Amino acid sequence: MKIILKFAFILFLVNLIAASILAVTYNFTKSRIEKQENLIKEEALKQVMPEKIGDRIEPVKKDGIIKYWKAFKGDNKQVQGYIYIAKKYGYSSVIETMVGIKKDGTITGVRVLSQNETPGLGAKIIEILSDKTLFSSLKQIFTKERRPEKAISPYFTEQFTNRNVKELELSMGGIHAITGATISSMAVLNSIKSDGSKILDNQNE
Amino acid sequence: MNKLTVSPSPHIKSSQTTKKIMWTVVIALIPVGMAGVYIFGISSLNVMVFSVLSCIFTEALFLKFRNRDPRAVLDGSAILTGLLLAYNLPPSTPFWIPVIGGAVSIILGKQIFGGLGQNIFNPALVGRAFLQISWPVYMTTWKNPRWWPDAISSATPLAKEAGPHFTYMDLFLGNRAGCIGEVCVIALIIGALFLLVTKIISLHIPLSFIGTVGIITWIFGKDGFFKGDFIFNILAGGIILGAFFMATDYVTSPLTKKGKIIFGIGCGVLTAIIRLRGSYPEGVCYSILFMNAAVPIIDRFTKTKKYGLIKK
Amino acid sequence: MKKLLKEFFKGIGSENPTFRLVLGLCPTLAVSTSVINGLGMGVAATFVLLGSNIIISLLRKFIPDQIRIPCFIMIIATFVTIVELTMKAYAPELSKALGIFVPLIVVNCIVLGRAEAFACKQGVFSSMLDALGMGIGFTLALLLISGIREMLGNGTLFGLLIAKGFEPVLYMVLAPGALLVIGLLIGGINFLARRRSAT
Repeated sequence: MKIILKFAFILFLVNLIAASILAVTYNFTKSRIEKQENLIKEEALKQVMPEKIGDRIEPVKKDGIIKYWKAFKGDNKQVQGYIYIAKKYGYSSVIETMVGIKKDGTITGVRVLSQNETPGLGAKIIEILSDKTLFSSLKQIFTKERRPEKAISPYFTEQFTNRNVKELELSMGGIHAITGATISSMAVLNSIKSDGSKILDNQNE
Repeated sequence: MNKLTVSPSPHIKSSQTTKKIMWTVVIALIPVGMAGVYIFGISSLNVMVFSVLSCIFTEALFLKFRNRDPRAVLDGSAILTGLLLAYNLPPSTPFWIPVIGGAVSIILGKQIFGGLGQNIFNPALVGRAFLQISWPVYMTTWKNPRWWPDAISSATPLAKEAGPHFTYMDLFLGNRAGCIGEVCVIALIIGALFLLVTKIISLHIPLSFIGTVGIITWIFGKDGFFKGDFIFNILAGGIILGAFFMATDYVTSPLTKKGKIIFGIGCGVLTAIIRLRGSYPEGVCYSILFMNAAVPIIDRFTKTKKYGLIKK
Repeated sequence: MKKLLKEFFKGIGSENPTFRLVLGLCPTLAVSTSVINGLGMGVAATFVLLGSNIIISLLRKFIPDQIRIPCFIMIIATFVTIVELTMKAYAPELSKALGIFVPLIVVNCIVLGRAEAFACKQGVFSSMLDALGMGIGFTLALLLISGIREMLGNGTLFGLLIAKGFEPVLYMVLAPGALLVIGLLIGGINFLARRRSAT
């Protein structure tokens, strides 16, 4: 009996110390983790909605959860556009995209927030074509030659810009699917289309 | 060759040797290759040559590396692997696809396990699976027969979004897009008959394989229960090639008749499931590889009874 | 001194956790798709290994044998959580890429294995060296595997293109590629080791 109490006491002690260390670490990193998460969201919000169209973004909440965002221009009370997060299961993961649309349904920008598709196939939805190679980067380091970096975005999501959200389709004249990854491409397209249409249809409520 | 041959008893010595068997199969495959070249033009000959040369070269290199006699390369098994691999490729692939495929077949499919007779999986199919996973775009870009107006890129009849409709005669003669060696069913049947007459293969695996695919695609067809187009499913795709020439590989198929039938049914079930429900249009390659892995278990449970043995 | 050096170098060479002990394969298979991920995983695991080995070695006289496993797990889990929170705060991209495999360091066989087989019997200093050696050995193995996989499977190294016009071998970056690369490397190392011991 005595020995069990002793074991219990030792385990309790170890756990107590571990828990207090974790509590300190948690408090120390909490604000920074939240900041990081918000930073990503805010950056994405700005990317999908150019300032020309709307520079004031307000969340639309329902039961305390953000459903989508409304974009306003300056002090104007008129809604200029919407931003929403579209989700759909692709080939091996849920693909989450943030989409900005104008009032008439024209897409202003699409950005993939999270995905875990097959590398080399489905993951190409976030691929950025770059002419930077290992060799040229090394050369840049040693020769101190700096080339201005172009702000480039993934070519797949770029295709969506300036199209009407309700008229998206995979075709020769429409969105080109990534070769060998039709399922992932379709998931992105369909989620953007259906969620966007829903918001547009309800915008007068 | 003083190799240890494993087969169920009774043992009888025949004039068959590995070399003879391999070369007979190569001969049986010649009409198929000729049909492929006739249908798709000279590019399919290129694929075949690159694939066979790559296999022979890799095999010789590895035999040398393992201190074996490099002349063993002439036993025909490397050439056979190369040919079978080429028959499983689209006719318009760039030259490096069959070269890499051949090397992978020989190294990963065969020599790493210890060479001919030791391999678990059919080497040509290992190469083909590797290529299919690595370069799906090249492996699914088909070329139309020479006499079609648009030359490049149409889906195989099996693809779910396939456009043109094919008559059974088109499929039977090979008037369609597909892998070099799978399109011309009549040439395949000629080769298979030759193998059956020379008693290189038996009908157990091919019949149970093809029969199972036919029955399942008939029952669970697109148009409802017991309405599936089973003739189409047998003629389109690589089942004839797979069932007669690849599933019957001596090293990677079961020894007994009962085992062979189980093996064939397993291949058929898997092929049909992949075709009907999988994300790939064709499943012959993967289903044979799957069943290759099951061969030791099948062999174990289909051991022949000793003559006169009474069960306790 | 010589003994201490041996404790350090055995983790890198003769008792390499991945290639010789074949421990911790699950994270190795899963995160070795790119060099950055491999490096991140290696460093995270090394930190946990170092922390847990030191603490366990310090407490080895205090923790009774009968309840040592729960105590070890507790200590390891604490370090893993510290790593996870820090990574989320300061390297969110990496933490996203490694995903579930950071928390899963808790059950990485290498960490518990070293605690059980080494740290709970040896002094603090040699436990530290053992942890460092094992951690570096694990990191090097991950770098080697992920380097091969990223180069062949994606045509890049550290996310930078190696050569234009190279058609990546997708096989390598998918799960079977990990098994193949690890298998071939272990086979090659065994082959070399056997040949060396034969001569």
